[in-house]
Amino acid sequence: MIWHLFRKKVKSIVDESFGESMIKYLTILAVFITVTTMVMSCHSSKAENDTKNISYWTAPSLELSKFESKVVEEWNLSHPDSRIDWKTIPAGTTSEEVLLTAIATRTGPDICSNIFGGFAAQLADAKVLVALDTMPGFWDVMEKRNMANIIRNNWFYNDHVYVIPVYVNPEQMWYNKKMLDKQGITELPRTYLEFFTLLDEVCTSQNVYGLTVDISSKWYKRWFDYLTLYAAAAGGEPYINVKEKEALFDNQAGIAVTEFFFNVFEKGYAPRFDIQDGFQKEMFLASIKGAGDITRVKRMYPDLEYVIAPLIVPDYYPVNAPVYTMAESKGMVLFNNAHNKEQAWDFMKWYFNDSHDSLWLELTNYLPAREDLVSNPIFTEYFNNNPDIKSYAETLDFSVPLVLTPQTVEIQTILNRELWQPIIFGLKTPSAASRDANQTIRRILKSGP
Amino acid sequence: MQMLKRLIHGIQKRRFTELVGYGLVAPYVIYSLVFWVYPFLWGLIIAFKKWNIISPDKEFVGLDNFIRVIQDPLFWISFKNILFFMIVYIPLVIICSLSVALMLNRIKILRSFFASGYLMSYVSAGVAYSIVFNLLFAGDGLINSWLGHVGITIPWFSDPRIAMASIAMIVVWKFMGYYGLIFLAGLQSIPKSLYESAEIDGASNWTQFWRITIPLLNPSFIIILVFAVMLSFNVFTEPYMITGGGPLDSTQTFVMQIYHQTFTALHAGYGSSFAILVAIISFTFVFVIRKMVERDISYG
Repeated sequence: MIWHLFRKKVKSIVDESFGESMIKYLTILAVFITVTTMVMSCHSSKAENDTKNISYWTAPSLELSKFESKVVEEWNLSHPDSRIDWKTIPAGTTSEEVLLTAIATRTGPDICSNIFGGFAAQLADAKVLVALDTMPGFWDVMEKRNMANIIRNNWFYNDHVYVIPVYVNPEQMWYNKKMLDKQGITELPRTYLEFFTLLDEVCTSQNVYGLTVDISSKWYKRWFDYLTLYAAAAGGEPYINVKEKEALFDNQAGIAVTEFFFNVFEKGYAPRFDIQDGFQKEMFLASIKGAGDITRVKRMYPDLEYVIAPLIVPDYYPVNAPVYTMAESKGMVLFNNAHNKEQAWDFMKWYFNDSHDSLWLELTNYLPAREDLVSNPIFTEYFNNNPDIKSYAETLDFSVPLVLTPQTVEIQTILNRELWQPIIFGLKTPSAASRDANQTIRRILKSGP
Repeated sequence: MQMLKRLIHGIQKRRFTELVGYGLVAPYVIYSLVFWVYPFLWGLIIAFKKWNIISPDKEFVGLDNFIRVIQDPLFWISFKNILFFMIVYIPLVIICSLSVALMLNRIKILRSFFASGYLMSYVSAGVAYSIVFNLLFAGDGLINSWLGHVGITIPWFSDPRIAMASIAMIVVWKFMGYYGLIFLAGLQSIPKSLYESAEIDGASNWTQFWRITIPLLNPSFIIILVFAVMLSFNVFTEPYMITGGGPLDSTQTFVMQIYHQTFTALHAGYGSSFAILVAIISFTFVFVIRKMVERDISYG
């Protein structure tokens, strides 16, 4: 019966007025789709507005996600009235770009982790962040987590604290143990001169390169080579005076570091082309690596034997002075448009505690940003099992964070253009490169963001 | 009365048909308004302002952004790089895609299979193949390890003299299949009778190619030239992923600068004025090329 009706209908359409019937059906279909879409979108936006959950975004990393999922689950079980909607920062070219788009379109989170200081300063300038030190109980949390001095010394921007550092990732020197053993070397270099003497001895006889150096002009790469050695050469002094808007790249430390890298390339101890994982593949004697590299290297290159040592310093550096390093650090921020700031702040206060830091260390192998890592017994067992990571934890007293400036990207882009790339290809003398970079960065600082 | 009824019915029917017509084009019009016209107008407005994307404050700065772009050395470096890219890319992609089309035109079996194969590069994700090429062409990558057998190492992406040419080769790989299909469509629309009569007149294959195929492929050439020029001004993923604009800014492109200024340095107004100037240059190039190369084609 139905088949008969259907055939009749089709026949009538085909025989009589195919065009008109078709148009009618298409119109009905279009109206149906439009109405359905409108109803569904109204429904979903209503549902979103009705929710009282706190949205929380974190770094798109497998290790970090293991920790965050456990912590969020724990919170949601104990706080059914203020649940956390957790997700990793959506895929994009960079986390910063994705967050900016989300903020601009008002689809961003209430709380976000994985924010570096310079980006936090940009967001603070745009007045989208809550000054966390104005929230009740801020200093209690900082004291309880043993990070009050870290905050006081390094995390104030425009007289307020906008980001709570979650972890730090200091840098140190790694040397290939097999290469050292082959030459019978037991004492590692302290100064640039000693380092070049070592390279002269090892590289020629073993036909390897000396130091892995990233030749790309990606702005953030300079954290892990030039700026790290600058921190060591300058005894932990910053490379920018943010208050005075002065760049400090053409001082004694800046020129020494520039000269060092210039010589590394000039003498052929680093190639002017990219080699993936060169140190891990035992093509290089030395490398500058962060604490975060240990787990990855052990997983991917289990046979690699290496020795971890403090960073090298210029020849003028006092023998007994502590050797500083730079520590990249990412933290957590609270957005001004969070629909329930009190509850979001409650979550942040709860997030920073001893048991979470212990779990964090175990699951992620990144060092929590606190002052008592080596002395606190809750971490002892972990460090006993991971002596390499402990050696990084021991440097934290002499680790400096990145300079807190909203012009981080511009500064490091200019550093690449005026200093880094020209010295790789030997197009400028070290002093000229330092001077040019300093002048241009100073001009940018004076003109403002 | 009957006539009046019929007239009203006719008018109603016509109106209904018109409404349906509008309804059918509405999705495209709405799409264009939302995703093209609105962003374009918005971009035009903010080009005259200083704005950091997230702040509600937008300061009117007149033509300052445009003047700064013109004075920016990176604008001219990017322009020079794009011209170099075009010099390498356009002839290479035309030769490769025309070869693909001629080959596909000759084979009788599995033509669709081979055509789909060449299209695979076109539908591949830019980020994914950029990573693969970066590994392949790295200093210790597969290509250099092969070349190492004859004692050669080519710093494909780290020598400022050849980095942009290396990028151009990757883009050629991506587009030669797609352009090849455009040429193939052009080849198949050339009447066979022209070749038959040329053969009767004693024309060699070579003469037929230069005197029949190439002139009658002019519409395809125009399309591909326009596409290639537009693409040259929009190159982004490959240099961004592989070289980051280096070494020594030799692979900086306009879109990389627009992206960097807008989303990394948060100078949205400056980025927008940069984009407008690039669009004007790009349209000028396309206009001039069309004027120079476009010909009326008749198969008669």
